[in-house]
Amino acid sequence: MVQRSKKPKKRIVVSRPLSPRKPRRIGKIQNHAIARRSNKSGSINWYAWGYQAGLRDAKVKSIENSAYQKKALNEFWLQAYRQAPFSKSDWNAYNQASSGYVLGYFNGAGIHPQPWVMLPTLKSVAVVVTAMNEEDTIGEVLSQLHRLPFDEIVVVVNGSGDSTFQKARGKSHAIIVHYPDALGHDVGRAVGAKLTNSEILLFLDGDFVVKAEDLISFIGKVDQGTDIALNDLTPYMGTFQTWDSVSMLKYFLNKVQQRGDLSVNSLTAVPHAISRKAYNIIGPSCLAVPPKAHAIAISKGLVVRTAASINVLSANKIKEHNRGQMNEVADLIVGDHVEAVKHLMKGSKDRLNFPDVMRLREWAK
Amino acid sequence: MARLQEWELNNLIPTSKRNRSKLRSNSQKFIRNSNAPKLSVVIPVSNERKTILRVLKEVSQLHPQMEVIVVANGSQDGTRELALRAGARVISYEHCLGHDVGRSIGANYAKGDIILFTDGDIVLPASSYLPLIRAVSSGVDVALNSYSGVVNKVDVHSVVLAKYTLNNILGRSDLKGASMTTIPHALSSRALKVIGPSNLSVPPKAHAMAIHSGLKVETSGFINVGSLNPIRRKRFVKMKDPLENLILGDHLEAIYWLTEQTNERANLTDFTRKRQMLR
Repeated sequence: MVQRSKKPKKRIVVSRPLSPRKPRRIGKIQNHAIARRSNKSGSINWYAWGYQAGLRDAKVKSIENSAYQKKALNEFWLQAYRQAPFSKSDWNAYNQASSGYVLGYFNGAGIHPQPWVMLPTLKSVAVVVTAMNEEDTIGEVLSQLHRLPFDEIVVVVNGSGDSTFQKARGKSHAIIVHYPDALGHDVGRAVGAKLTNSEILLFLDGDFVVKAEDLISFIGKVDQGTDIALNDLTPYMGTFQTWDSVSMLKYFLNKVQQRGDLSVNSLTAVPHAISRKAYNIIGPSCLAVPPKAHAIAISKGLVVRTAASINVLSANKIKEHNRGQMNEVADLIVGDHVEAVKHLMKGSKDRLNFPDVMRLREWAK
Repeated sequence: MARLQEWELNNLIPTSKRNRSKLRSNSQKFIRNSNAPKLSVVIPVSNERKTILRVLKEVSQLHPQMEVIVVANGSQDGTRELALRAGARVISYEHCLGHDVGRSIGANYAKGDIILFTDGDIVLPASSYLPLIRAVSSGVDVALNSYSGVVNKVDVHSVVLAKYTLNNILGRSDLKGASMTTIPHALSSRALKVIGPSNLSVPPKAHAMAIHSGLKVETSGFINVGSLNPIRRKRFVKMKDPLENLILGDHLEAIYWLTEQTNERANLTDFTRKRQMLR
């Protein structure tokens, strides 16, 4: 997290409190001063900055006549965000500022406040949610997604024996794709992705509720140039001896592509966001085999980085009800990784970038 | 490169003026090679004069009917001469043949029912090898050292990761990080025939071959070779370990071989995924 320096920048004069005798300076400088003054300890209060900006905008900009009010407010927000005095990679500051802005706007416009969360980009954003039997969580998942002004929401319900579809339909105006048979959740993602046109694609599973604020960095990173924005699971991994086979395969696949820095992070886990460019290069049939998509992304030189760190591992542990099924899924994912490695070896590169320059094998025959 | 290969028994060594004085005394010969050995010990060496005699002394006690085969390649510090003097069957090569190639060469000449592989720079007491030998004589085809590497950290070494990964792919996660890459390990003569001596030059591939062809592969004893490995301690403390990349590549070669024998997923299930939905 970026720590704002307590020393003011040279071009901003904040040493004296603003007094009525001196003319008020408008714009960035004034906002900064207000942000600083509102917090006695001296550290910057981005929420206050955002609130003031929202309050001001409410006087001059209206969302009343807009068909998609959330999106209209997002556009106003983005204009204010351009002037933001914090780093564009500080998502903590972003979340504070944008939530301040939203409340400031509603208060300023005299509208009952909604828990909207603003996107950090003008680009179109789609979200694909895959769900099987998630009647307990799908409602909450969609509630969180409704806080953001997405251009497209696609829910792929497959092989569902419970009321997931009904819950989703009753809750949302999203595009809902329903298959009576299970597709395999990775296929669901690819099927959903095929239905989107947006520039940024975000993927979630219907069994884990992610707060809207936590999704911002994934979208923001892709907006800023990352092609594949991953969830960083490394803080939740124990020492190697505790790892399961899937984690080992994920790390191995990254290592053999010289991306050991990614550790166990890969497209296998949600949430993740990808650019349209990445989607076009990978293609939906490869997207259905996430490790293969991950390997292709790295091998084609796409920008692959981690965004936020959301603990989805605990959700998997809860689903221990069917041990046998877990093992089958593990085998499936291990097989996916083998498929990914084999794909990289196309053209008889059986050692990838690790040639055997040391051995004189002919002598062994 | 002039290839030099010969069975060198003590009384047939061509003695140059330089060697004569060293080879005069026969009291240093403590290895008795049998002509019909039950146990063959294969030790590839390059320059290990500091440890080779101790290794040979331990190994020579393992079985009354045994042979010790030392494959000396690129030996310039007298290791070869020491092995000769001790009575081992020495196969010499002037130049270094590379990691593990010596195993293939030694295995080619081994006549025993049990073939034990170890290195010339790690001194282990004779008792360490016994569990491996007993396992093979009671039916195990490939008896492995269960030492799996240092695993109580997050950023584990690539080689440890690769060994665990390969075992997982082969459906033998029970073996953890045990592998034919690690010494010591022992093979039955049947295993040697099935795998083929030349494949021992790429140990992870031999490991995959052994498991895939249905041989009985088990761990039989824990021999902590990590702390004993002088190579890692001495030379590569600050340098990047070049062997790391070689071994990683070896494991990839093993995976390539496996997928050629089975399918691109090493025969792992795909049944729940309906790929046809994405045509």
